[in-house]
Amino acid sequence: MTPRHVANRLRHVYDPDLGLNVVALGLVYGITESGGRIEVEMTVTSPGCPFSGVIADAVRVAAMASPGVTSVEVTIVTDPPWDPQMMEPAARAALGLR
Amino acid sequence: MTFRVSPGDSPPLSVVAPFLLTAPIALTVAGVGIAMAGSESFEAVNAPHTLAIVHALLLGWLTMTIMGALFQLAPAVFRLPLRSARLARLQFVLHAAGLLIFVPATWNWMLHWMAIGGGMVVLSVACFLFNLVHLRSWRGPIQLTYVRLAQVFLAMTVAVGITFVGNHLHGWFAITPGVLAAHAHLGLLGWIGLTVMGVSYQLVPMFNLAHSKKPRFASLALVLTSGGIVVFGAGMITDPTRPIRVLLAVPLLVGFALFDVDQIRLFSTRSRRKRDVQGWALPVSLVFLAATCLAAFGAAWGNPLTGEAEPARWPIAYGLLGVVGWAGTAVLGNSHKIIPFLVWYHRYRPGIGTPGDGSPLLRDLYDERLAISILVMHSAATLLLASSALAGWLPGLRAGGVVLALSGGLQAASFAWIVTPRTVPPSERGTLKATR
Repeated sequence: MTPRHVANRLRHVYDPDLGLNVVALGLVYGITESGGRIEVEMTVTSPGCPFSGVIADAVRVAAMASPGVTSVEVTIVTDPPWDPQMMEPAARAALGLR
Repeated sequence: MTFRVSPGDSPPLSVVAPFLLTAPIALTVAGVGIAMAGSESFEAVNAPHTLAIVHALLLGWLTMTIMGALFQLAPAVFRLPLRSARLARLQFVLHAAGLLIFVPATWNWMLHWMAIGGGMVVLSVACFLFNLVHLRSWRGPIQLTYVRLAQVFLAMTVAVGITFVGNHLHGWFAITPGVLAAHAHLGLLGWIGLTVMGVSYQLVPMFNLAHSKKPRFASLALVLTSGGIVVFGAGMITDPTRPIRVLLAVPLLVGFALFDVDQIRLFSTRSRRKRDVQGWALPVSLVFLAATCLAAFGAAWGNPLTGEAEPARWPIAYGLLGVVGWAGTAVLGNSHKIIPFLVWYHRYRPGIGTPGDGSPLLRDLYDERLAISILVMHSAATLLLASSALAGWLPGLRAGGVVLALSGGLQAASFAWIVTPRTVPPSERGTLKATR
């Protein structure tokens, strides 16, 4: 199990408004792993986003489903703030972004 | 900066949904009232039928929508939990029952029943403010300051309103057109206007992913509108002359115009280019706000186009554009985000993130074509109503009332469909789906 495996698991976590997963949206800033313990640093699309708590819980659930993971810590940061440029090209296209 | 939102802070669906589902019924009632309007609508803004319709629109439709939305948004966005969910449930009963008494009593000018119904609405507002106003919350983002000041204006509006009812019973003082205008603007611009502005500054960037530009005039618009309402209200109770009326209106008009410009700037930089109903409703509401500002000048100036016999035509057109057009369209768009979010949050949240997650997206929970149809119908009703009021054309006004009532009925049906428990298949999520 590597951070890459965890990232792939996080592609199961969708923003219910945008219909895109948190990795494609560029919301996940970093994943670190140490002896089965996972730390995820991520953001939300807007400060005060009402989905933030739900998304963090879903990320925790999805990461815990990875084999060998014993604990997950999710931290939501607002610095740097999310920017549409952080999205994967396919996600940008899905939103109709020029 | 790091933060965390506790899902437990969000009130139960059973607290918020009754407000949001009942509100469009009040819109339907107001539409039926307009469809039954007589020529007195153009003669005086204080005709009993007009007052009943205005209170159904403001205290019924818009206020109940805003109350429900704030019960959801305050904990989720501003992190201000309700003091008591039980009190909010009691408040809904008080508010709905109070309006059921107050609106027909006003239509038939039954003062004692107006006092009873109005008193229940005042109690409802007191419960609402107690539930949401936390002293520590006065410090916060500009959006919260808008909402807080709006709540102060709400308290002032209902206090003045119930005083008017007592005055009609006991004859303490004369309710002149200026005094009535002060009360109306406290409610229309102070309560409804500032709330829509504050919530828009929060939701428009969030819903449309418009982050590349920051609002430029949020503080200035707040100072001009909130200060302008106080100055306008204080000035209007003296029943000033025409030039003074226009002068009193200028800060308000500039404040709302700056807000309009700010919202257009934000919306034009959105990253979310594929629009849903909120993405269509916002520009429509901003056009109506611009039209409201123009009509406000006509209302403040008087009646050069409408003749002395029908002085209410400009104020009614102005009120319809502002209430049904601007605030109404904004509320319509945002409700189609807030209500699906509520349902998703309370029914499907536990499933997300799990392998094989079959939870629907927000857009799966409502019928987009129906929502757009309602928006078109609502906008058409606003145009017909405002132009008919300006022209003094009663058949047009009545037809506009019928269309508005239909729009309200369809809104109620759309919202009821969203909250109805049913199996909702998730939509195709395309090439961005996770690999297994």
